[in-house]
Amino acid sequence: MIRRKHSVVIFLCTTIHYNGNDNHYQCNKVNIVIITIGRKRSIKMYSQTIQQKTLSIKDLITVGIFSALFFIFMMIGSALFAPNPVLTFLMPAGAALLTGPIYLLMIAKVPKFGPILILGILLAIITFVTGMYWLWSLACIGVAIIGELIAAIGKYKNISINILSYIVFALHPMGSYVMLWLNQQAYKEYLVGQGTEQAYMDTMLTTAQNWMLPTMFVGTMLCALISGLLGKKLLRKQFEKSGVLA
Amino acid sequence: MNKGEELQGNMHMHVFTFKLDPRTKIYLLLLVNAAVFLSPSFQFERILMAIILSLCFLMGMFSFSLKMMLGYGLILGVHLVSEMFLSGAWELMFVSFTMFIRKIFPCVVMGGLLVGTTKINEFMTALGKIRISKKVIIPLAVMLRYFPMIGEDWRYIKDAMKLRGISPSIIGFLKNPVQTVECIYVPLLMAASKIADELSAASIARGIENPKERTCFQHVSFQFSDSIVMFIFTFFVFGGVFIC
Amino acid sequence: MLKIEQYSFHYTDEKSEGIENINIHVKKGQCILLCGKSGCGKTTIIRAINGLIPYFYAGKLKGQVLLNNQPVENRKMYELSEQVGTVFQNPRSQFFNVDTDSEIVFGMENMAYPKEMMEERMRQITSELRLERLRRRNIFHLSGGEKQKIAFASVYAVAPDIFVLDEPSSNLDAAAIEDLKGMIALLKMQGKTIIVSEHRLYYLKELIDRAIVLNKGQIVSVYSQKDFLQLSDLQLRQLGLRTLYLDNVQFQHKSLPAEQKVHELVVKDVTISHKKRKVLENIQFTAKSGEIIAITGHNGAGKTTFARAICGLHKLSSGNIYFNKQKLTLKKQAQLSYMVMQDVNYQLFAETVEKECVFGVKNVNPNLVRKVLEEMDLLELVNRHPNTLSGGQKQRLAVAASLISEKEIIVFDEPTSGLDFDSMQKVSSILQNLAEANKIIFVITHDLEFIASCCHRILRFGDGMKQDDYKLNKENHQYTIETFTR
Repeated sequence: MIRRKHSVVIFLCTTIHYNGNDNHYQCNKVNIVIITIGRKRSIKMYSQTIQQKTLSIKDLITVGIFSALFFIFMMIGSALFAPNPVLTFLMPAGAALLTGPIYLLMIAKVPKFGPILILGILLAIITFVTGMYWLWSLACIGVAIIGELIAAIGKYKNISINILSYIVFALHPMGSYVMLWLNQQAYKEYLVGQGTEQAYMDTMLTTAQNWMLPTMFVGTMLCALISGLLGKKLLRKQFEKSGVLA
Repeated sequence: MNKGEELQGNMHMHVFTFKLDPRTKIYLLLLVNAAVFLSPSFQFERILMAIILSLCFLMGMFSFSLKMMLGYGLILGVHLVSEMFLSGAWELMFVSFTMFIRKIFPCVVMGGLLVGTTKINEFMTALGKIRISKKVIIPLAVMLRYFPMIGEDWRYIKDAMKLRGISPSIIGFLKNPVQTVECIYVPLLMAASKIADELSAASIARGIENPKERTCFQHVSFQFSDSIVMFIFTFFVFGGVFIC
Repeated sequence: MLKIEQYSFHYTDEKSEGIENINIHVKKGQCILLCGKSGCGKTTIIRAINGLIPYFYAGKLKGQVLLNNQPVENRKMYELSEQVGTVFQNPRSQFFNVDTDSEIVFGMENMAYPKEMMEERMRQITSELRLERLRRRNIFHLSGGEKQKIAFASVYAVAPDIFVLDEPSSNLDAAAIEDLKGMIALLKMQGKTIIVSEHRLYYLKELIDRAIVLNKGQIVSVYSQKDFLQLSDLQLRQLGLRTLYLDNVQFQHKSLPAEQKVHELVVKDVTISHKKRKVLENIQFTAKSGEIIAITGHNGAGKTTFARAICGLHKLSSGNIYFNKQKLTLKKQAQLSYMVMQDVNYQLFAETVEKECVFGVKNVNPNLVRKVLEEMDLLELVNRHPNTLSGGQKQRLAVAASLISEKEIIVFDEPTSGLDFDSMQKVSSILQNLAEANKIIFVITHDLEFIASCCHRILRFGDGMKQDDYKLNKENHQYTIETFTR
């Protein structure tokens, strides 16, 4: 047993990061060793772990699981609309309608930089690998980056900013539909070749462009907002009290 | 295991199928995406589909190839019918839709080929070899392995809902929107959180954080067949863009 | 080899009990049993040994755990996992992969074993653990016992010196428990050190060297194998433990309530299929109010499918079910019945205990709600979120909900899995109270002591048919015990 004349408090940090922005030291683990004098001749050690700012394995696994749920709900939401030629443009709205609570709960569980980005990358991989057009995958990563930055503004704890982040994120399926507008020239030539009247087709295409694209955007954002508000309600009502956010 | 491997396993018959490295398949998928983007003519697309379907057959995905062939034929059929019998706005909508599907069809088939002939473990290793961060690979692995569990969880929740007199259907939703929504989200998300915790503890206790580079039990390496297939596809895509 | 010295730990979130002043010395090659009442701290000790405390679970810690004279605390988890292998309680949430082969090699891949070494090791463990039938299969298609085997094989592959098993027999039937016993015996033969935390003790009696009994986070007593086996059933119960000798299980023969037959459930010519395969054929029986009927049989015999069919959750391929002479539709069945599932979490939907009780109920009677909550001992918890309750409390909440919905048929799926003796008795008395309230109760269970404690009748399924259907009495209880140990 070590005996000392004075009680000494020693902080031992196993790893120290200097966080330049906030001007303070951050420890991964703090071992507080208190060596007491006199009567108590024992060494007492108290250990507490402090949350790190980087993603831990638990965070990564949480992101994986919630991404799975996100994807499934997205599929269910869009399955109603996507195969239907008339209603297919409602697909992004459908996809956005069901996934809000999952997105918000994920950020609540892992309020750090990374989950949204990883979710975007995972969606990008899945959409790519299942043969959806690459622009969708690109859009997934794009909205994920923007979504991540938005959520970071509120330090991941401000629910309204998180909902805004979700609204932006939910626009990712637009990447797939943008393809319809890309090959416009070839499309026009083809249709004219089929005998459609030039003038008629021009007006149709312009009206389509004028009302379809904005409708899709607005519709999707509206559905995302509804889903986000639902998520907020569920968080407040149930998840915050259930001990799941610990 | 796809049908080809099954046949080989069960019948000890030498059904000619071969394997491709997952990285090759990813490359092919990229190529097909580029091909669709650059597509100069309908003829080009048809030949592209033919090549992809032949590859599917050679890799043992028989029923899949047949279904995709039928699907493609169906889309072309709907396209023709819409052109002949519809007009105006309806024609525009239908034709746009079928053209859209027709365009991405090669990608979908190639994607199906990748998913159907690659084991999850192989895929993970391949991604690791392309130096994709562990921060993406681990969530991806967890995601893929959690999908079937969502199905199981949902079955239990459906049962529980029925026993409480809440119908897990659209009609139920209309009758009782708040309760139905709560029933669907709450147990699933709670179960998800719990499993995330337990799985993390278990994975950590089995050494997942080891900084050494993971080895792979499955064989993942380039072979001669990979080079041939890559060459054929590249040649066709870039040659075809100019020729067709 | 393993020393735990004056170890105390208390969780910051206080969700589970902490442990106080634990001192355990384990020599190499020994098999130690940790047992005691629920919440006694067994799992906490296991987490201390495999390093998850303090790495994964935050809290206040005193004392130390020494592995080969080196403290566990500051070791990296992945280094520790080479020496301490843990098989967790629930295989479902410890599998990282979708197919068995990948899962078995998961540990080895993490440790970057070269491919040839992995292949060689795979060959070795396939033969040592007899895994031939389990190779190259989808994990989701395996039974509980098979999953447990794969989890075990995955840890075994890395050949750690210490094996830590957390309630390994939780979801296993008699046959799978025999397999488990064999695997532990194999480990002993190889000189491995084994630490098992368990409720079900009978299968371990020949294997343990020492038994450590805990209560409320402290060590109550330590027994050598010889002394432990000599404890009487009464002494075991006082310690909160289950029986060691299945043959000694005492049956309580409650007589059925006097013939005030209120309700009658008749199952006639029923065939149930699952995925185009006939699971049960030609089932006939009659059940009356006040009966507690145990549904038994090996895993895969169709017990859960049968229970779901009774509750109207699974369509009958042929035959009918009648309640008080009235033919039942699926919808009516769901109205009459309720199932308390093995994992109650899937059944709890609301944000407070009170709201949970009335969830989905059309005409709420507040007096009934209060009465039921009082009976179930949940009255002080009315405003708590159901997810914050303990396992037993959640179970009682599910039962409360069924009573308030005035269900007549209640099915319990493995309600005593992982419970100590007192908790098992509590569940037993809940069932008996329900029976006295004229409900028809079915219990799917492998727990012989539980059956002995409260069941009137046994319904045993196997090979697609009803194999046994008899009322428990003095003459046949030996037969019952035999069917459980077979």
